[in-house]
Amino acid sequence: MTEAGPPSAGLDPFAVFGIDRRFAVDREALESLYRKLARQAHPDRFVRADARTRRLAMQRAVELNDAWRIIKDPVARAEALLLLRGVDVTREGGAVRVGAEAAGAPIRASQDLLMEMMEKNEAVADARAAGDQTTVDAIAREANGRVDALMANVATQLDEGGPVEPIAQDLMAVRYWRRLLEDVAGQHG
Amino acid sequence: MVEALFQISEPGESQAKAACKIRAAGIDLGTTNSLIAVVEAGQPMCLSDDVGKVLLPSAVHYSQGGEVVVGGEAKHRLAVAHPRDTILSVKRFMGRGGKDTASTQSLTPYRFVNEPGQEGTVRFQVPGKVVTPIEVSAEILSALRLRAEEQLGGPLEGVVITVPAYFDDAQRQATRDAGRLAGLEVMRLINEPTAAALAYGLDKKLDGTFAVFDLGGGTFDISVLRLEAGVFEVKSTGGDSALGGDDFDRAIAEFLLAKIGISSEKYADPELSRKILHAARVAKEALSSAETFELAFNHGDVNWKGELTRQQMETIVAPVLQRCELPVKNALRDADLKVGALDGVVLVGGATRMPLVRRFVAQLFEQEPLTDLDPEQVVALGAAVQAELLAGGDNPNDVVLLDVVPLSLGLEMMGGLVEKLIHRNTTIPCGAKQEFTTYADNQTGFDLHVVQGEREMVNESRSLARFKLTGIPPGPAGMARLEVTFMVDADGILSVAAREQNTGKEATIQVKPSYGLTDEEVERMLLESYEHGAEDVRNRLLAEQRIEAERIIAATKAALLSTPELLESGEAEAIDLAIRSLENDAAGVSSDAIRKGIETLDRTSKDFAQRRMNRALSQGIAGRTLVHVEEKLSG
Repeated sequence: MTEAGPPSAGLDPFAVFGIDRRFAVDREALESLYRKLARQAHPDRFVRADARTRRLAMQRAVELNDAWRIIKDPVARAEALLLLRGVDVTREGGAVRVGAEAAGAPIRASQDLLMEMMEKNEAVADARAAGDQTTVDAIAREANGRVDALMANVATQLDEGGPVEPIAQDLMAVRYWRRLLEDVAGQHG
Repeated sequence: MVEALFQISEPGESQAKAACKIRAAGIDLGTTNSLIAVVEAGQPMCLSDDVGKVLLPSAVHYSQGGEVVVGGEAKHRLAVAHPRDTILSVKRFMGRGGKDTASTQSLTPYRFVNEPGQEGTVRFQVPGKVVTPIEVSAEILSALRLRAEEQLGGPLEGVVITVPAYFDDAQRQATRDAGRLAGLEVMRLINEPTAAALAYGLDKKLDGTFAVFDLGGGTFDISVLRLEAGVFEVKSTGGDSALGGDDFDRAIAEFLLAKIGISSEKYADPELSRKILHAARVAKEALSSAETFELAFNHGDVNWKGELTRQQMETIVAPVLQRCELPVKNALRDADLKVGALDGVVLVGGATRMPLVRRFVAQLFEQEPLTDLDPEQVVALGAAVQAELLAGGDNPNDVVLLDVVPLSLGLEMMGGLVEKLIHRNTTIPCGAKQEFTTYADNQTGFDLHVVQGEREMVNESRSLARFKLTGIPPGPAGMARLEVTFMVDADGILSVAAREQNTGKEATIQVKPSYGLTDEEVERMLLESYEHGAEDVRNRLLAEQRIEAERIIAATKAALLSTPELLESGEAEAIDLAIRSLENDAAGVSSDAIRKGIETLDRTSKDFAQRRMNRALSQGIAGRTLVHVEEKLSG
């Protein structure tokens, strides 16, 4: 499993597709729009063009691909929406406020979350050391369930204009759980 | 035809204009064999040599007299007589340094040159000179170019070269350099499995999700592709860049040596190793159709006769073939697919002719693979289709390829950790920006180390390049704001830029690739190669600059005519002036002056071009949202 990176600075993926800044998206309609746009902006169409046209087309293709990468992944999409509201949850060690909100206090992951993650990571390490795959699988299932529940909440909060702080907390938790899942998957090659 | 070089001015507009068509070809630059194909009357076809052979063995012999022989003669005769001076399977060394290939080196008879400061590239000692894998590959490409030009009756103006999906940045760069060295304009590098799917997709008009199982002479690639509404999307790729039919040969050869009773130390004898590998290959190929094969092996005082059965051979190579299973499973997992969800499996590569391989694939994918096209030609055929498309020929299906980054790209952080900027399987072209800062007080420079791979630690990743950024004003730790931009173009080649944000000034960065050749080295090789004198190179540079000048002039004039409403006041006059000045330069003989003229026109018309591009691309976003998007883009 590959985790999508944070949105690039300066890119509003919603604007690239000409859609409203909402979490709920019509994924199928957007996918066909992406394909249509990707064909138009693809560098293959400009191979024999002058260098400047090639460069411009490539920039657009890069933006488009980047925007689609974010839009199609619910977690990246939620992180992008929050970034547009002035909170970057993708930094190491907690969320930071950016742009107009830069003066605000940083948002830290709760002690409860950090404790829980530490316990889970230890549990995975212990189970693995003991060759106990059943327990590892059970933790992975729990992690998937937690991510789904957190994201359902994030989806509602984002589109109802809920306060940024709890959303940021949820998204940071999602990042921790996903990292644990990646760790579990990575060990099995 | 220089005057025919018009580019499309509107994206989405049909490229198909017979007058614009140039001579283009697709090249499969393979480990064992190479092929060249063109599209004739809408049908892709491979070009054969004088005696009707389509496959050009990827073998290059350097004679004592300075002569270069490429192909079957080199492989079958000269490789036996002069194993040290006849380079086979050079693709294994492309974009690779001595350390990367130490284990492969020990299995070959070549004399490697390892000089300090040149560890980034493998170098072979051949009579009278030292050559790099890039130069050896360029000889193969030149031979194919010659074949095509004789048959097409004119110079080849553009090619598409295929590379394994697993090829990293360095290997792709090396392949591009080889094309350039062979005097070819490489329009695009495409992944071999993508080319194979392209050949099948156009012929069969299939829509769906496919796996391409490519077991060639030297590499194994597995790709999962989705074909839908004219778009090929690579969902995931995987494989093993050191696994192929050659490994089957080696396994069989080792078995034969044991059977004959020759100790494995003698295997280092180049003539013996070549002979036994040849015998193994012949037996393997014969056993694809026959059940048993009679072998005779004569070397020195050894005169051996024996029999090898298909079953014996299958038992010998099965463990090697088994190595394909894990990459297949990983690729399916990366694409989020179950085996049953695949609509087809395409076979590529000579090794897939073996009944054992076909059974293995059928079992692994739970379905019979597609075998309609010749597995050895299918990649070249697909490359020809793509070349034709890029060259502006007919393109009724309007196919574009969406390829992905095969391996994650990142930077070394404090403590040897890798920070990934671009994750594997991201659609290309793509880019990423990230901000970094200083970790020590009064730090005035950054050492940036660009790496590739999936591991967390830098020492487990592949080093791509090192950058230095200096001249940062001293201050407390964490003050400087370094913005690093990664950009991967449509060929999968990475460029990296770094800028310090606080000072605002453009800090200079120096790129020192830790692999492959520098631009200067390529230039030097061009100068040194026997067919181009210094005069030729100057003429070529001049011709290249003239073509570029004509392209930009034609594009700008067409733009002025088609969208005058996007011009701002005074802009038309300034652009016009720059065009006339460049036309003057292009009539002269100074490539430098032309280059400067191009830069001036580029600068003058940059904003106008940007406005046009914005408008053209936002037309894809329908109705109500169009206005919204245009506001965003112009704001």
